[in-house]
Amino acid sequence: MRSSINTYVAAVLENIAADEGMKKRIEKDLIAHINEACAQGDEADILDRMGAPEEVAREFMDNIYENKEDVIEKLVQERALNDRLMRGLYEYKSKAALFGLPLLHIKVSNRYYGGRMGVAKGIIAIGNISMGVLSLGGIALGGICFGGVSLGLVSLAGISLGLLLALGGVAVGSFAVGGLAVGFGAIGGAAFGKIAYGGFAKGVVAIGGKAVGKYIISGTEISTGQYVLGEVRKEEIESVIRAAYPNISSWIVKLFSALGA
Amino acid sequence: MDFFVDFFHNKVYYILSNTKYIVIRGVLMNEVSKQLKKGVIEILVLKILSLENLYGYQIIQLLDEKSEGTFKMKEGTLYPILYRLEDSKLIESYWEAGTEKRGVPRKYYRITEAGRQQLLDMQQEWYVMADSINLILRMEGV
Repeated sequence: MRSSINTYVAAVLENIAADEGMKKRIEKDLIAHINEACAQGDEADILDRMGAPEEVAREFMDNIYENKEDVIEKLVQERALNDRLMRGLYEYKSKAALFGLPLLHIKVSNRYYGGRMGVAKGIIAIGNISMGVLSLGGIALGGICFGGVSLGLVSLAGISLGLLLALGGVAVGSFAVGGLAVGFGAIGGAAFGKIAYGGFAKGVVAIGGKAVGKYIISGTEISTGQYVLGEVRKEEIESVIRAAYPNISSWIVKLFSALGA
Repeated sequence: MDFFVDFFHNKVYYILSNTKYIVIRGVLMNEVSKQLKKGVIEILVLKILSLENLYGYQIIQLLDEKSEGTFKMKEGTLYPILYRLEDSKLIESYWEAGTEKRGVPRKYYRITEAGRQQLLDMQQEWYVMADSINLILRMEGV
């Protein structure tokens, strides 16, 4: 398929106000049609005969919609959708509620076009700022949170603060996993915690390429500033944690020892 | 009356108070005839599909050729009609891989049983209506 045909058809579609299903239908048919015509003539002549993409689009619009009311209705819908996406807020609030909060609340605005921040509050909340049991947003707050920046019991984000568990580029939590991880238990490129496991690990128990702490399993320096942690057995990890914290829950021990060989 | 000749498309345009006239078979065809044509295209498409399964480009060519240029249809006119007929289950479509060197897949249209019945009904209505219109148009006095 030639790119000039694709470009022409794309230009036609740009000028048609119709739903996606109809546009797909037109796209497939128009591409097949032009290709067929080109098999029997010169491509430039064919496209010239068909006319400017705007004219072809107008002809389609004239025939897709049998009366003026249909066209007006479609244009109003497109305009409203465009407004919502470009400037205004998109908001959906489910009628079903739990503890006075909607089951699902979506409130999003496109701040790039001057919209206000959409703050969503619900059991499931999706927004520029979201607060919910399950919370998805640029800034997400709540129980289980996903976002650019998030704070919750369990949190997954670029910058992630999790009271129980934090996963992210920067993760801070009781248990943190991330590029930079800070927590009681921390696993990461750089890990800081009571029990830390990582490229660089600092903690009471530290296991890593370079480990700094009271109870450590440390790698070797292969060249200046470069450390490698060789194979560490599960039993070694378990014994070093048990030495530091004799009464620690066994699931925490198991979690870290799972990183060993 | 102004006019210009479009040699490239073999058409003559007469400009009368912004109305575009096209000469086809020596007769001036204007916007009114365009609307008249629109009303009968469905019946013509059903008719030619009742004779043979065809793809879109063929339908346009065949209508142009058999009507001696009266029904020069544009893509934007034909396809929405095909969509309406297909959505009404009067025709159905299927894709077939191209067999020629270019190998472009073709979307063929075929008439359904409901389409054949509809064509018969439309033909009868057309004959009745055409006769009635002619009766009135040939009137010379009341």
